Amino acid sequence: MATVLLIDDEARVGAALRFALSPHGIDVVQETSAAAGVARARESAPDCILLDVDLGGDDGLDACRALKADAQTAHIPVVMLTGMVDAASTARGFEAGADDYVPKPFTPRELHARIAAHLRRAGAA
Amino acid sequence: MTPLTTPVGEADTLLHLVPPVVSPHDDLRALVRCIASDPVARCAFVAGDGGALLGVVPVDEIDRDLLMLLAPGLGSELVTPRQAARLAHGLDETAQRLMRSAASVRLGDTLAVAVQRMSEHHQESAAVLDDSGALLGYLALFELLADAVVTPRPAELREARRP
Repeated sequence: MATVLLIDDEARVGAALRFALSPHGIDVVQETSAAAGVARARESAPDCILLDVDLGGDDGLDACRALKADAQTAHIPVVMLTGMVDAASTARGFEAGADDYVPKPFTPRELHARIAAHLRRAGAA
Repeated sequence: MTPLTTPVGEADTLLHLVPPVVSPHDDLRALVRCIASDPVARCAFVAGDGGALLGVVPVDEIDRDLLMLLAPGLGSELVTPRQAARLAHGLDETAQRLMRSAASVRLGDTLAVAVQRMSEHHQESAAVLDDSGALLGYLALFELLADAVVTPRPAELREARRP
């Protein structure tokens, strides 16, 4: 079973991801701070990381840079979660090393399609 | 095309997850930011602890003239005493004071039920609640109707009008 690590301070985002991905056999684990998320990524090497740009105090972009600068986690695809009309955040996410982004809100099919594509490329699906 | 007989939980291209949400005590500025973050929803859902749905603030509930006055550089030099009183009142507005009862459906309801609830509430979005009653997502009226509405041809209309 593939595992997605969600780094987001809102529990409701975790519930949405589980609703969309669990039926496809993708396990979702969640950390609510950038530091805890980066630590968990180093420990457990998830197949994909979904990272909120706006981490309520913690900077999601710094977390992205940290993940991409670490040899243990640099290979893990990082998908940024951004606001639908937040083009500036999207651009900053890519500049920080993100591999893709998903605008909120998202539909279950769109989210699964994007995550499945990254898992295929990473050889986890 | 997704038939309106489809359960909400299976409408995987129409159900928007992670809807725009504010807390009951959020002010007008937070409401405007929230609504701007998702132009499709045309509202901000109001949720309490644990994600329980409390209500909704549709865009129609926002006083746009007041917003113009609140925006720096947009007419603030034209503020009359009456407008100043309105401004002061507007700054005190919270989501709780502006919200209305929200159209809502469960994952097992059909899209047709969602359309019916939106019609009853005169709203363009319906909140989708999960099995625990927490706000999971929303459906947008016009997206649901886009596939369902059939435009009759003029000849068909003429035929229908015949006594």
